[in-house]
Amino acid sequence: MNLFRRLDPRSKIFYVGVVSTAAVVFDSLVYLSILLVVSFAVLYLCGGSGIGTLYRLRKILYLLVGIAIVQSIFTSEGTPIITIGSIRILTDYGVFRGLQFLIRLSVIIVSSSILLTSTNRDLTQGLLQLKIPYEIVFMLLIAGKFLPLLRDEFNNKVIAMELSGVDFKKIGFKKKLTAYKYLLLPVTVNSLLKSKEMAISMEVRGFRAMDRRSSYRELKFEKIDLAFIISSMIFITGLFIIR
Amino acid sequence: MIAITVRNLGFKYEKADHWILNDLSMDINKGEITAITGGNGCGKTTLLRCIRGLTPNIYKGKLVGDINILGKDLKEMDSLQLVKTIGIVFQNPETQLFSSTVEDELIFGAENLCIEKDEIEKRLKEILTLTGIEDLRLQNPGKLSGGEQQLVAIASVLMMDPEILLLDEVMSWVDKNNRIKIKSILTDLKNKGKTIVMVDHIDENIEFADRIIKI
Ligand SMILES: Nc1ncnc2c1ncn2[C@@H]1O[C@H](COP(=O)(O)OP(=O)(O)O)[C@@H](O)[C@H]1O
Ligand SMILES: [Mg+2]
Repeated sequence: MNLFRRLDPRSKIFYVGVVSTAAVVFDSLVYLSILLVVSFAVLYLCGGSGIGTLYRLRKILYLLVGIAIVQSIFTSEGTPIITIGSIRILTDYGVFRGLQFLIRLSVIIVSSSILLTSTNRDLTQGLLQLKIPYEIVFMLLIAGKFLPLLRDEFNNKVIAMELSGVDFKKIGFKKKLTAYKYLLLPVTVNSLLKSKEMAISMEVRGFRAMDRRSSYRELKFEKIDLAFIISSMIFITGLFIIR
Repeated sequence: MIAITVRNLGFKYEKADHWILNDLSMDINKGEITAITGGNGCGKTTLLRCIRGLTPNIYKGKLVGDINILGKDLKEMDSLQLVKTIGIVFQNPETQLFSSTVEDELIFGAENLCIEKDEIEKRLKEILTLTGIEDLRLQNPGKLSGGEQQLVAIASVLMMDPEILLLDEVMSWVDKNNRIKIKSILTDLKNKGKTIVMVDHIDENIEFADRIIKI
């Protein structure tokens, strides 16, 4: 039904590459905003949820907004908007720099989340077919597994502590910090042991036993991919020209 | 015919001060199910690691004695030969499965051995049926029950069609139904000519074996 859902992960990688590059090159707030809006639209069409993405990234967003505000305040060039005595608190250029930073990073984050609308296996296969060495692709894949492993391990330990009577909701911040500090080492060691076991499991199943590797799955470029790549090229080149 | 001979095997883990395996000798017949049993910590897992050639390179330590696999000295076999000849399923299913679907998990080993697409397709159908996990094909292995995970781990190894299969307490995370299933799968494999070595310390799990060796 929705053509965008059938997009090859390689087309998405291409889009992310082009748009992120443009986001770094463009200075104008208008063009950056256009990139952001279009990326949101593509994300939505590919089956991702813009709002969901923002919600998941809310902590990072707070951080970005914070940095943007700090950046605005510490920029002293431009026409002052707010001054206290002779100190310029906020200038128009500062606001511009803050917004620029915010939108630029949002473009990169939103366009990258387009990649996540492909399944893990499609993405892996896409990278492999882009001739990225499979050692590297699997390394990324395992890194992606390692973080949840670490999180699970951590949660298990926290639950164990809660079962033994520590109420994490009630104890103060300082005590919580101490508790976490004690958890950190065993959790890390455990996760490392687990990932070592995982590496051995991969090895006994022939990972890197041969120089080459066959591929059961194969991604094929379709017309929609061609259309998508060409339109994103026209779109970005257009922006570059009228800039 | 004998598939595996172990002669005067000894192994001591790096930094450990005692020999886990000491002057151990045994013969394992081809085309049979051999069960190895013994108390907790007596070195069953270590023995499988030695037979699979994971010691002393991956599990560091001091190894003495000889192991012979289908007429070849283990020391002379390279990693590719080992992968193709001996499949091993470990005790903990959690760290053996790393793919995002069962299907991917199964084809991983076959792709590593550079097996052609059509052949992979054929094996995939065969092994999904043999292990009875067709319905799980597109599921995430991490979200399955212990028993299902162990079936997937066994299937993943079978995809590489090894002559010898080593199984380390594969029944321990598994419910009764799946235990019965695993026994029948192993018997099927034996009838196809595979040599199976299984480690288990529970008598009930190994009664169906052709031979039981206590270490
Ligand atoms: N990687 C290792 N490094 C050091 N010691 C180990 C290692 N693995 C197992 N051991 C020790 O070797 C002994 C035998 O372990 P194992 O072969 O797992 O026994 P079993 O499988 O019969 O329960 C145990 O005392 C264990 O602590
Ligand atoms: Mg063991």
